[in-house]
Order: sequence, then structure tokens, then C-alpha cells
Amino acid sequence: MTVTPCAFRNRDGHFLRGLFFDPPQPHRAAGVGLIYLPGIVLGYTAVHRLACEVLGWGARAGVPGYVFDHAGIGYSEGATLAGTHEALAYHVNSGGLVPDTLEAMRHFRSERAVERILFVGHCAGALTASYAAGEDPGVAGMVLLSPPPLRSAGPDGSAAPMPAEAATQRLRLYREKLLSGRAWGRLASGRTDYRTLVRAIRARLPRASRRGANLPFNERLIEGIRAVSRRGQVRIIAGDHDERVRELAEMVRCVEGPRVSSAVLPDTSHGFVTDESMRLLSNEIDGFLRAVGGRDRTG
Amino acid sequence: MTEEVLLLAPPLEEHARTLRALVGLGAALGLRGARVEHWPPPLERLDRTEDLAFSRLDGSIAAVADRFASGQPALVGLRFGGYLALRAVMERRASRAVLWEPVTDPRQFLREIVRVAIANQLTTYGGNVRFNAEALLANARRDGYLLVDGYQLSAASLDDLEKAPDITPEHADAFRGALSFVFWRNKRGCERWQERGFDAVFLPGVRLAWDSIRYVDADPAALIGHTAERLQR
Repeated sequence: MTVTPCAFRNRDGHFLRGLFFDPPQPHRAAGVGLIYLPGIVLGYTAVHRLACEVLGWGARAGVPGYVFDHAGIGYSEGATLAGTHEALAYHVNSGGLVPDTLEAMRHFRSERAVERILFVGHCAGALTASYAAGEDPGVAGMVLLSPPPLRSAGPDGSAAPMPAEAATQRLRLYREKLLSGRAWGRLASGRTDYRTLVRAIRARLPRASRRGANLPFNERLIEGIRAVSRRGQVRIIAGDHDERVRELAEMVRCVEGPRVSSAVLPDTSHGFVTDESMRLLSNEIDGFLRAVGGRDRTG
Repeated sequence: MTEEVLLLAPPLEEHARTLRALVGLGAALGLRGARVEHWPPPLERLDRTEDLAFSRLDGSIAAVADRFASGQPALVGLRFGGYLALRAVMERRASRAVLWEPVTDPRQFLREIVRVAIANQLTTYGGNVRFNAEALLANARRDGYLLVDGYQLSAASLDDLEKAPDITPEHADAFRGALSFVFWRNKRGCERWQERGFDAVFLPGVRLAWDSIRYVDADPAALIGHTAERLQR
């Protein structure tokens, strides 16, 4: 496998930097390429830790790969969005990264012998993958890692419902801190995030309207999944301790179809941070590449 | 304006959370006529291995510094990057440094890393901690790395961080004229350096954090302005 820095200018003239992951020559699977779309809400920088692993697995299986920073993200040019984490999340959830993604797909196709594209997207990157796949019929399959299944909150995050697992985990932490003098000190001095505390409690209150189809799912995400499933495979993967795992299970039930499948990995968080999580994920990606015919048998 | 500037980023997940601020600083300094390089170089440190052994770090920084005509650019370092810059000045490998919220005690930094590894277990194992700090470090020495935020921090790093000296204002006194400190979170740390006569400024309005996604000011104008002004002196 070789990793080569690359770049292209987007429609606004910004230089978008990225990396190509190329398999050894004799083992290349014809016409298929893998694009990894990272989660990016950790401070305007794409987190490439997972990208390098996933694209490395792909390249070793004979599939060329590509990861890039969108405009204003990481090392790419472009104005950094002003505002908060919520504002950036809102921008991404609203499809703000789709135009660059469509251009990057064209760049990948022009630089490598790739026609059919497979997406692997993590978190917000899974949303962008799904949105872009809805607009480009050349997307032949996708793996969505920990996609946020619910509609986005506003740019200030004010209307965001807290996922049930997230609320459970936070309330567990609050319970652990009941005997902590420092925690009570923070509460008394106003340094505790009261809004999060209230949201966590509210999320655990029983409300029938939160069940199943009544959840405010992200319809554009679902449309993208359905569009790709009409022409290829969609695999949705999350950890059993992902904050949104329950809502995601409900969404999977809503989009169920012959070519949409899902997996919940044991002892795994949103970020796939343990070696065991990575091993399970590696098996998943390998199985996906075999299912979509992207894996070179000799690789 | 100092014409040559090398920006030293922090390692591990802190790199991802703060990188864009350093990219913003680099662009701003570039517009003011400086030649700027990043360490680690863009798109180089992407995989999930991390090695903070000082012999490797010093060699890697020197390789990037050699790209400048002078071979001794001014340094701007954030967090552990600040420690590396401080160390470079004190070992006379650099003549000028601006330090953003620098780590000064590597042993304390290692304790913070271990705390993050414990917090990772809370989210991975549904609120449970399977390995305490001692067990994590023992496992790391057995496996050759400590797993933190998904990154594999080499066991050699643990040894070096354990042994590296805490740098105090007293230790750095002889280099007072070469060092500037910018803080926005650690007020007490800022005062410590100010009390000893160092150039240190506290900017409470900067909203840039490495340990919370709530503070993602990727374009901290005040931070950039104060840094550029100090590099110009």
C-alpha cells in the first residue's frame, strides 16, 4: 500500500488537501474506490485516525481509497466557520459539506481508475455520505458508522433532544458524583452545566411519543440510505454504548430492506477507541467489501 | 515580524481539537510576511500510533526546522508542543518561543492522559471502569502501548514523560527574554510566570479547549494578535 498526499481546487478556488491510499498494483479491484468521510465536530478538524485504518484495510483488500479535508476543515483552505460546536454540527447536518464531497468524488475518479464509489462515513461524515450518495448514482454502497439518526437541532443546539443512552450515561456519572464535594462545589458556584443536567433528566422521563416512528428522524439521511439500497448494499454499524444506539435501532427498523443491514458491536463507544472495537470493525469492513464485490480475491 | 516560525501542535486527540487554531495562526502570520511550517507536517501524523519519546521528537522537530534558511525558526507551541518549545529554547536549539497554555510538568501530563484513558472506559463499557490507572500502565508496558482515545501511545513515551523534568520559572530564568507565555484557561499558571518577571498574558475571552467540544474557537483573533505582536518584538 502507498499513501500519497493530493489536493484539488474546489469551485470557490480553495485548495482541499487529502490522501490517496493505493493498493499494490497486481491486486487492484477494477473500478471500485473507497472514500472515507470523517466525523468533524471535534474543533473544525477531521479526525483521521479511523480513516487511515479503514482505508488501509481497503487498500490491502485491493480497493484504492481517498480521504480529504473539506473547505475550512483541517489543513484545507477556506474560511473557518464562526461560532460554536452546535453551529458547526448544524452546518454539517444541513448538508454544508455535500458540494465539496461531490467535487472530491469527481477528483478521485479523475485521478484513479474508479467508477463505482463506496463510502465509509463516521458520525457527521455518515450524514454527508448519505446526502452525497442521494445525489450521485455512482455510489454503489456505503457503511455508516455511528450516524446521528435524529433531525438536527438549530444552530444554537437549543432544541436538541438528548438521546436515551446519552442521558443514561450522564445520569450514571452524576450518581457517581453524589458524594463528591468538588462536584457539589461546582453545582453551588454555577459552574455545572445546568442545561445538560435538565436535558438528561427530561430525556429519561417516560414519553410515549418518543417511541418508534414518532422519533424525529433525519429524513434526508433515510432518503440517502434508501437511494443507495436500490443499487447496492448499506451497512449501518454502531457500538452498544453509542449515545444514540437506541434511536439508531429504531431508525434501522424504519428503513429495513433487503440491502440495508446493521450491526451493534459489543463493548464499543461512538469513537471505536479500543483494539477490540477496531478488530470487529475491520471484520465488518472486510465483509462489506466482499459483499459489494470490491474485494480483490487475490489481495 | 520574525520571518520564520515553526508551529508545534500537541499530540493525541488534542491535536485534532486544536489544529484549526494553529492553521489559522499560520495563515495569519503568512499574511504578515512570515514563512510558517507546521510540526508535525500536514497530513503526516494521521495514523493511530503516537510516540512521545524525546529522542524521536527532537529529531523530528529538527528535521522540519532545517527546512528554514536559518535552521532556527521562532517556535509557537501549544500544550505539550509548548513544553517542546520551552525545552528547545533552554537547550539553545531555538532562540525565541511563544507558548500557548504550555504543559510544564510531563508527569502531570501523563496523569491527564491516563485519566482520559479511564474516561474512555466509561463510554466504552457503559459507565464501568475495568482497568484502574495502575492496571492500564501495567498493560501498556506489556502490550508496548497505552490506548488513549483510540491512539496507541508507545510505552517508551510513558518512560520519557515520567522522567522528564518539570520546568519552573526558576529553571527557565536565564531564558526570560526569549520566552513569552499566553494563557486563557490556567490563570494561576500565568501568574506564576508573571511573578518571576516573564512576559505572560492571560486572555479570558479565548474559547479554545483541548478537553471539551463545547469550546471550539478555531479562529481566536485575540490569541493570534497577541502572538503575532510578540513574534514581532
